[in-house]
Amino acid sequence: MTASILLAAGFLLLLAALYILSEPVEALRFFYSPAAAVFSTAGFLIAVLGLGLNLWGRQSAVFISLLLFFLLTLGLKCLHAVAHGGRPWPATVTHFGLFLFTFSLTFGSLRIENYRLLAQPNRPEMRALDLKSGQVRHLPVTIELQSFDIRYHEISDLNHLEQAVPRQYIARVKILDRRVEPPRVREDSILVNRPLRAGGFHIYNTSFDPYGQGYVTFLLVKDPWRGATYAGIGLCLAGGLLLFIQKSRKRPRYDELA
Amino acid sequence: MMSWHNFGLFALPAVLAWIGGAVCLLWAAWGDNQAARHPKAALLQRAGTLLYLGGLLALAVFIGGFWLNLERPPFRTMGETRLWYAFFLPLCGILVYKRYRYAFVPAFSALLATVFIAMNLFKPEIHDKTLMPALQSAWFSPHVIIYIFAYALLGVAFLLACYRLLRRRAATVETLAVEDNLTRIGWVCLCIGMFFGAIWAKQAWGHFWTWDPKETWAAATFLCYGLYLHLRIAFPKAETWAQAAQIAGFLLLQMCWYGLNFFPALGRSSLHIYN
Repeated sequence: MTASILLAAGFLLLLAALYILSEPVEALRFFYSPAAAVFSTAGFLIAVLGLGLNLWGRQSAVFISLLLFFLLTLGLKCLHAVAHGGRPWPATVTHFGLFLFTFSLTFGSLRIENYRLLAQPNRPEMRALDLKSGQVRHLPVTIELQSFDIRYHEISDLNHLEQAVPRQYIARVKILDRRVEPPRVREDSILVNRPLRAGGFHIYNTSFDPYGQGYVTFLLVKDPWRGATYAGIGLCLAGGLLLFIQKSRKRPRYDELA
Repeated sequence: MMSWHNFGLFALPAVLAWIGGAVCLLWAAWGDNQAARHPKAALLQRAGTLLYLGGLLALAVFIGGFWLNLERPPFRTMGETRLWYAFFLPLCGILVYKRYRYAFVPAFSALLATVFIAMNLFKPEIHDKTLMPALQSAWFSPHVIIYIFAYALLGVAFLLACYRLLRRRAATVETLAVEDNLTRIGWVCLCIGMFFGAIWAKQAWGHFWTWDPKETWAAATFLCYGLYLHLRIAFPKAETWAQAAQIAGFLLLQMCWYGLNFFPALGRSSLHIYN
């Protein structure tokens, strides 16, 4: 739990120290130069390609070190841009957003909790499989599956298909939040693409028993850093928008490029 | 009723109009200087542009009718994304022409669009009207449409890169500026599509990013175009390296878009397979 915060804080301190030291130590200024961006992007690209080609995994030393080098140059670039007034804004905002997104996903992943809970009709369940450790835990919420319905596309929608095609899976649940005394009871539906927020978790309807035993599997996710990730995405989108606005005002100057 | 059955009725006139328009535009631009050009170059330009836009209109009518008939956005199958690509590519081509007057751009994009239309005509995939639960989301349309738009912009940037590499002496510095701008805008669209996808993934699957094969190759594509843009800033003299990144980015994009389907070992576990 706290390890992720310490690691993240340590990384940010390292960034700040490197940036401050780059004032007297000229060689350190390389880390926020465009050339460093080229090398770190190329490095991270190689790391991602290796992942795509199954050459190494996400936990491998090569992947993690190239990812951290990418984050390091990106973070220093952000500090440098801010120290120099932030211009050009589209680039600075986008770099900041990408840093926040990557940083929060990287360090936040250490704090994410994932549980798989198997619910049978009308049997309250609070035991769930911790997908990180592989152990069964007792959660502070109890889920009782009241009903599970599959909504199908109307028959008139079907051209050539012989069997009906599902449109939505609807799990009606009764949830007991036992973190408070007396426990808070809530009844609601969990749909695909519409998770439910209860007991500190986001609860997803992930799969069901196709053989008619009637059980449904839920994924419970606790992601304390998701706010930072959303903020990073928001900044990236804002940066893209700024670029469009700026480009439509200013025509490119060929003499600058020659 | 607009369906794949009468696609040819709209696609063939569109292709003919694009080719005719592109020929007019090339003809109008033929010659080294103003004096050597066709005496009615201005008229040819106007006629070419109108023909080209007429082709786009024909395809737009088909897409609109197809969408209404399907009662869902037509972004689900490979055939449907090819249809959008065949629409956006000439659209970008004619916009670039309007802005920078490079007659080869609409000609090349018409050629590429024709290839995509031919694929849909000769190898139609099976389509149905239904959308599975995982795709029942407000994020579906924006996620796909902005990606396809990015693909089209980056496709034109790729053509420019090839042109600059093959005809190094004839290529002017303006083409490089156009390529930079197209890549920048295309990369922003790629970025928006990716982040819309991340928000949607959080809502549908519980996590922003899981390094699913499709996501992994999308990240590689995103990084490769980022590499191009940074190479252009950091080493403006080393253009060949930047063009190599541009071409590699385009190849990665194909891998991400449909190439994974041909490598089951790499894409087997993808959550992005819906057919």
